Amino acid sequence: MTRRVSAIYFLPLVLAAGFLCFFLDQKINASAAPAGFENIPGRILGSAGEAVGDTLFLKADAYFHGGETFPNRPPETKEELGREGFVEDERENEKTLPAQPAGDWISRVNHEVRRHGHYHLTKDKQKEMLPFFAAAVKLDPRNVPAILTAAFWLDKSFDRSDAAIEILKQGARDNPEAWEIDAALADIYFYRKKDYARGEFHYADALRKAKSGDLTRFRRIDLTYHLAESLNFEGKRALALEAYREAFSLYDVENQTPLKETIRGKIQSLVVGE
Amino acid sequence: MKPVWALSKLVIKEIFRKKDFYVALILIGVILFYAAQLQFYNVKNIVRYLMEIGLWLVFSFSVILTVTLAARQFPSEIQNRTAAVLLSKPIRRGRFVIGKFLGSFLAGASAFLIFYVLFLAVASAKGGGLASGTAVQTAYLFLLNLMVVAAMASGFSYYLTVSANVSVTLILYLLMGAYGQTLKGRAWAALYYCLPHFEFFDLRQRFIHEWGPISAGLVFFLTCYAAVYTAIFLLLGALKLQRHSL
Repeated sequence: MTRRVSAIYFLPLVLAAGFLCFFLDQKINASAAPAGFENIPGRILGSAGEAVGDTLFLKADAYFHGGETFPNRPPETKEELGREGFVEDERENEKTLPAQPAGDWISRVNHEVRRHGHYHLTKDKQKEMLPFFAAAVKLDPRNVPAILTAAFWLDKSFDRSDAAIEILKQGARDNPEAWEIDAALADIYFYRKKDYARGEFHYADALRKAKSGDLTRFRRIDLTYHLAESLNFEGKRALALEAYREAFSLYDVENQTPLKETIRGKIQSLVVGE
Repeated sequence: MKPVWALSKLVIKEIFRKKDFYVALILIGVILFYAAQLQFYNVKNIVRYLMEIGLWLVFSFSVILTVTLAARQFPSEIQNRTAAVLLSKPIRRGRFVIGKFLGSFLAGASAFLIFYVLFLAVASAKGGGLASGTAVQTAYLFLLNLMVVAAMASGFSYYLTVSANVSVTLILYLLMGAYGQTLKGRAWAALYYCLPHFEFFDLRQRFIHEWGPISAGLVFFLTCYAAVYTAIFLLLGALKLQRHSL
């Protein structure tokens, strides 16, 4: 009289039970925690979500490199990259290993099935990475590189500066100690939005949050210089002069760079103006 | 061939008579339609994530349906006491094995093709043109993959109970599909050289990332490879059945 029940029937049941749990969870906690309840995947996976998020972030990287994960992807040659209009750091060639066919026939067949040239997604295909960035950021809100990379692509490739700002602001709320997020926000306000007041705020915040060990000297100079530029554009000349001088003082005496010369020029013009 | 085909037809009817296929179809449809309407930062025509999800669903459900169908064929004949009647006169044991396998494979292949057409329709609607040459090759090689899996489950069904057979077949399938090319160590060498390499038949990456189709020579080789393994598994099943007292 008993009927055998196939395992496949349990899938809808499990899904239904899952959705019911979330529904109840939301109802119970509606008054206590108004924010963050839209993150259903994060709730399903719990702390495993971080690992899944990291995997998805790597998957986005694989997508950019034609679908193959490191170290299986073939090397990117100078010619291939040249055809795409740019050549990346040549050291990348040393890091990527070609999927060499090994001696036995099984490896050779596998190699033939998986063989393809190394290419980077063209501009019209770069959107294919976005679902993985979105999922990676959602599943692991503490993954600062994923937040920065998602914002970078949205801003640079898709002209979605507002979406990039939204991601970075949420990232800053989830990672209040991450100066990189403030620096990225400041760059978008400074270069894309021309909103120098907000740029100044975030450059100052980035410098305040960054401990001395976190920043290379060049990055500290760069942030300080941009803080000075923001102040200058806002007409806060005294504060700008102070910031330019601070940036200038970070250089070694014998070090001569175009940026150092630019800063020297800015200081002179502000001093003359005074 | 008539008795073989008659047996096969019964198995094919079985898959469409049971609810498993329809549950899988509805589940794939619901997940695909839900995934297709997702928006990412208001950027339109993003399709590769959908292909990734869709192909995974289509492949997984097709394998599960085929394995469960093939695995329960012989044990259910024993349980219903129809095996003795079938094998007493009208059909030889070798043909019984082939008929059961062929039915399981064709039933699984039909289910797969229906799922695949649904997937292609949703993916095309979402993102426009798909690489047709690679789409055909992906389907063809997966059919070869299903053929080997059906033969494996069918062959094992003469040795194992249904649940043991389903577990062993799926574990071996997942093991060889995911880690087949890395099982070269001394401890795994037997598995590496003896078991079928299911990863050979997986062209999903080529299809999703537009790497282009593989060569005709390689397709021919993989067809022969699948045929050899199918014959080996069916022979194992036939050998056991020859010695099986009903």
